Amino acid sequence: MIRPLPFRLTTLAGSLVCALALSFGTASPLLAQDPGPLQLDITRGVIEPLPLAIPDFIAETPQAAEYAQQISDVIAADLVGTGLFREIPPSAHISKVTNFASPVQYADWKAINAQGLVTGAVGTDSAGNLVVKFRVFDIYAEAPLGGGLQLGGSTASWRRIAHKVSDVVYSRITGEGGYFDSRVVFVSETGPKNDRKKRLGVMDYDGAGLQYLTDDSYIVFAPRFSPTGDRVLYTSYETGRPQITMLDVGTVTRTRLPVPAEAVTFAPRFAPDGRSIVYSMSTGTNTDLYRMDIASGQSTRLTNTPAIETAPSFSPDGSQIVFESDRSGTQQLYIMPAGGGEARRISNGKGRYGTPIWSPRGDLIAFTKQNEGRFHIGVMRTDGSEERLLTASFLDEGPSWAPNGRVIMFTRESQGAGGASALYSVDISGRNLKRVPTNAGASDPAWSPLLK
Amino acid sequence: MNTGQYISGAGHLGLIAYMIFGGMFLSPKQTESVAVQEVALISEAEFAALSATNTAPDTFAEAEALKAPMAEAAPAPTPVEDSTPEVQPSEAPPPDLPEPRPEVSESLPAPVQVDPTPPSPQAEPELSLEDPGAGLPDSPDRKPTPRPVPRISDQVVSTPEPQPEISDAPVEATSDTAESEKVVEQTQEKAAPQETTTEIVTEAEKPSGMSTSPRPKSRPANLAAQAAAAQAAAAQKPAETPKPETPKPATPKPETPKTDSADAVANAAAEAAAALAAEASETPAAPKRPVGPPLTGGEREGMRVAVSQCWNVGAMSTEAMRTKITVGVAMNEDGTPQAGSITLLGHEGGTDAGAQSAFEVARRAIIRCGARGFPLPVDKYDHWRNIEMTFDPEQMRFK
Repeated sequence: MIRPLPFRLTTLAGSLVCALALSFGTASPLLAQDPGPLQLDITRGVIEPLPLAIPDFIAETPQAAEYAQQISDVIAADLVGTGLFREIPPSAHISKVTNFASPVQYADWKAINAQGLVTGAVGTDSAGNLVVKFRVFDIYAEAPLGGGLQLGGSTASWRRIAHKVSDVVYSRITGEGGYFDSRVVFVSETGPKNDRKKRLGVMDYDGAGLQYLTDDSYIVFAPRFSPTGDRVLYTSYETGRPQITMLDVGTVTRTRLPVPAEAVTFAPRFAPDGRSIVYSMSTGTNTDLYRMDIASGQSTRLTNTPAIETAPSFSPDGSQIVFESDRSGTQQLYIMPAGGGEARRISNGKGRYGTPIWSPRGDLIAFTKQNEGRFHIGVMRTDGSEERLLTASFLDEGPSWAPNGRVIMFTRESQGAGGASALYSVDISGRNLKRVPTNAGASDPAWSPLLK
Repeated sequence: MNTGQYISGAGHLGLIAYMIFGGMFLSPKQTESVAVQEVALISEAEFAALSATNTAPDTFAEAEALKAPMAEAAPAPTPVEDSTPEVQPSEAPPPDLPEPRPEVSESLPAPVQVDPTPPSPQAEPELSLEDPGAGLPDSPDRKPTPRPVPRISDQVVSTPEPQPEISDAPVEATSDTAESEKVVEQTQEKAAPQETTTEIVTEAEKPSGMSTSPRPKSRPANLAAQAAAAQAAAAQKPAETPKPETPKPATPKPETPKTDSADAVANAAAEAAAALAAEASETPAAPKRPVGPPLTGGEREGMRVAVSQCWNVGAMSTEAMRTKITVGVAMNEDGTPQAGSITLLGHEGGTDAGAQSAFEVARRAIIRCGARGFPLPVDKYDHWRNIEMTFDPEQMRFK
């Protein structure tokens, strides 16, 4: 009887100590030394357009006055058109940029929540050419983003100059290459659906500067730019049956490629080195892929199956080719070595996959997908994983990558007898879907590389 | 034995039950006080002020009027802005600032007297803050249920809004003249009772938490910090009410306007002053100031959310989106980051270029959302004097 009592007391005391320890124990010592930096993990952000201020460029000479504002407008349209930026209207600007050399009042731009600032000046040299200077500023870092740049060119090329400025601004802010100084070749379509006139057109990526490369006397489709943007491959019915043709954009001269006259050839595309092409050739009921050396005209067969293989596209390093084939029973995507050989299937989802095209960055493959009566433009990694569908409509097809691999342009056709096709572009995030302005129906876009 | 254990067990259960449910009976009364605060914060005048943002042209007109003097007085500060990327140039103004301070003290004897007195009122609330702060982590550790009570006290204690109001009042008071002492004391007294009343409940259980020794040590540290903070606050406020201050510098000396007048440089000057204040307070205060309890989960989460709101990954390159970066930043005591101290500590995955791009986005987020001060409890400053943030865009990548 004697022992339990002290035991109880000690346990009670112990429990009190424990309770006190529970309540006070974690209170850190008041005089502890430097606790070290606070560690925080930030994993969730926001996605919203970055506010940019683009004051009108300063005209340094009277001759430059008419171009100064136009150039700033094109730059603003380029950047805002990406969906990544939002322009702060000039009426909200607190400090007016009147001198290109004057220091930037960061506080004034912070006050209107501008995060980036583009200032510039347009002048003319003795020969009458435009000289455009510009700077990009990170307002919150209170520092310029890179040094100032100066571009020159004829007054006729003021739009290209503006696009080049946009490319630099875009690249400096996002860390990604631009795509504004580029062109798009496409099939311009006029007339009703049952008697549609088609001809090749080429225009700036934003729809300006349209030129026609062929007349509408015969049907053309599926144009593709060369890696340097100076030539276009396309398929033409000029001889009455589909034949692949090469066209020099500068001189607008056509070159028939040496393929058997009785064969049907289509879906041509340049290799990254520009010296060879890959295309489909149908003989009888079978269609296979061939590769042709342009200089020698020699073709080698890449696939040999009873199935239909078409829509080949090189990887950026030229070592592999992605194409579509129905060898499994339905249209699916396959990758094989550029010299031919065993192909591995990469598309594994429901539905049919077609018109694959390798991203210029090499990380993704864009494709057309048909599933349950709807068409989609999608992207997947080169091993077929992480498939994402970016669009959905009655008919979407024929994706083409922007030079920086971040935007895809494609054809969207509306439903019904009066349906017309138009060009659309979409970010690879699936955002910023918008129509590319064209004066008539348009299809089969192919984006050029960035112009030099 | 058994009876003894029963008794012991019953005692334990009783104690535990008291600990669990004891606080619940007291809580409902306190919740009402919280509701009162929220109601008080909303006013038609503020709402009108918010909706009045559309009337920007008016403010622009004022700002332009202010701009002209700025541009004239600007030549000295503008090179500082240009050279800011180097970070070091920002130290150029500080050497100028210490000089004006003694001059200001000469010209305005009243604020000099103010400095010694305020530290004592502030020193007291700081101690009281430490004790409540010590109590906060205790209660969540003890039991999950009483958390609502400490949260309530958190809002009252940490409320960052009343603190800036306190700083506002003294600024205006100093601008008026020598009555600043009274104003400072009054405003702090108002804030102090709110803090203590809520925490007295918890303190009643643990009165022994006091540690009086740090008091004398903290005073000198606070003197420098307060003096600098007061100037920083004064430098920030002039942007809103520049007119009353411009007459002041005219009377005492021409040097004071340099720090006060230039509105364009107001922010830069404020940052510089704050940075200098932090530097001044760091060396003496770091060893002497008592280190409060670590930040609670709610406080850390609040900070995380505050930064996340400005972390705009929309314009980040694909390469940057693959890069996880760690960014270090030194903080001022008012919760604002020292812009020049933001550095890229390291990155995982991606390329150096991607890391640099990601760093620029992260820096923008820290500066932009920290411009008005992050919601961090000042009594735990030693715990967030330096912050290392890891920005991981993995979850933000489009899939």
